[in-house]
Amino acid sequence: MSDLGLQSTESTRFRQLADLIDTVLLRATEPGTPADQLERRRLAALIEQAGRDDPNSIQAAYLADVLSSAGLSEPRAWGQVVEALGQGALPAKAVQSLEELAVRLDQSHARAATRVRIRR
Amino acid sequence: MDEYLQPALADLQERIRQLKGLIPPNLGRDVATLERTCRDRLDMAVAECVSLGEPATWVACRHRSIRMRRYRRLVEDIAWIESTGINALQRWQDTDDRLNRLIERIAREIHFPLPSPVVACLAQAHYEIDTKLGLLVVPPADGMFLLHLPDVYHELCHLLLDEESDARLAPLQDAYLSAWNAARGYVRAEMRIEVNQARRPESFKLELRAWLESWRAWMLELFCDAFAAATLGPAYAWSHLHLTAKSDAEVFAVPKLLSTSHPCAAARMELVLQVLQLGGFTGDVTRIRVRWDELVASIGDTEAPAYGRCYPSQILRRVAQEARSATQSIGCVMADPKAPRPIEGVFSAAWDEFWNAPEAFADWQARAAAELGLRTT
Repeated sequence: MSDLGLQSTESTRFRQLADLIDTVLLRATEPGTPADQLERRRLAALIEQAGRDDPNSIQAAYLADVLSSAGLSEPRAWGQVVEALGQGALPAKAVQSLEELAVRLDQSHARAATRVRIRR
Repeated sequence: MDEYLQPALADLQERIRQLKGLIPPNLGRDVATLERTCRDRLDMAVAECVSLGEPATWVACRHRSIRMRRYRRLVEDIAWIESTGINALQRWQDTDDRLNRLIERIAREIHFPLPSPVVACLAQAHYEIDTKLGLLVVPPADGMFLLHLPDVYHELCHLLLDEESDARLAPLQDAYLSAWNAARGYVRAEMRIEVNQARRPESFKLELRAWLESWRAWMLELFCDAFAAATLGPAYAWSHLHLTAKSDAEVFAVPKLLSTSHPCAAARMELVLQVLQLGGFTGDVTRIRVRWDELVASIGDTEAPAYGRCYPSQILRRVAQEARSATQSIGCVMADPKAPRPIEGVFSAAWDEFWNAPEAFADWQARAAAELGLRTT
């Protein structure tokens, strides 16, 4: 394994998603400032996009892969999370789903980072 | 956890201070961007140490797991900067300077639309790029040899695919996403077929799941291959043949249970030859194909039964066409068989000499590398 693989494209994308979710989770039970609401809308848009067959951003496509490979892609559950993100404080169920997703993303990040690479 | 985290975070902050002290002074302009990026990243790490060490932010029970996740990411970030950027800066040498000047010339020659990366000769194996630091690493002696330097063109494309919010790069990134969606759609359709087949072994489904996950990384690599073949021409295909000859990976490898980061060598060559064909390098394609078939026969690998299903021709064809066309759309100059540019010409001539005058190749390469400024005479 190469240390330089640590911040490969894949692992960086997973990291960005995990960071975004943890930012949202940090103030999940508060109504949220305009900045918080902006982050929630960003996350909601990504999750909503990830649920489609044809994600229209690279980040959403990465999220779709994680949801699918982790068996977390049940559309109705994520529809509820998307809806909750568009409102005020997040209900406990949405927080739990996002917590689970953040953990999965960290695992995907670690897997991408440690995978034996044929370089170039 | 505060009893652990407070001293651990203080220790990390001290580590950052020491890391900055390891950067030698006056490294020069070639490496200034890398030094700046490393310093900025370390400053961000200090800010995160301060944030994580602020007990009032983390009192709520549900915040504990977020704090630990962020702590682990912070530790990893610092380790990454230390092992990549700081490592490169600490052992910076004249060979690095010489290769950086060549990379600048390559970037200008192909009209590369982003700042060229800093190159350091410290890779433990083959070429690799860290897009966040803009750091390309090559093996220590590769800055003096010509046969693998074509791989630099592949690495440059990783920067184009990773750059965010730059409208100029949208044609390439959109083409990449669209091709990836097509590949995902294809594998999902194959998965549905498996689900509907009675008495199919469970391993088939696991295999397809590994393909689905693999295509995420494969599409990146294939786009980079297409970019390299489009902007450099046949020398990139020869370099790929060279790498395949030296690698012990299966030429027609198909993932079984676990995903892989790179597509197999055969699929990559298939794609590269299609890009060259589109660029008008018909004679070169024929010559490369003959040598490739000889190599595959010598290795003794044969096409795995699942190869065609895993790497469908229609997807590879699409990548060849769309990646080449998008490379042109972002303003990069395509390799032209009738009018090779100076550095492209040297890399191409290196492979001609390698095949046509092998006994004189070492001397030829030494002269050509000196003319490119890679060796002191």
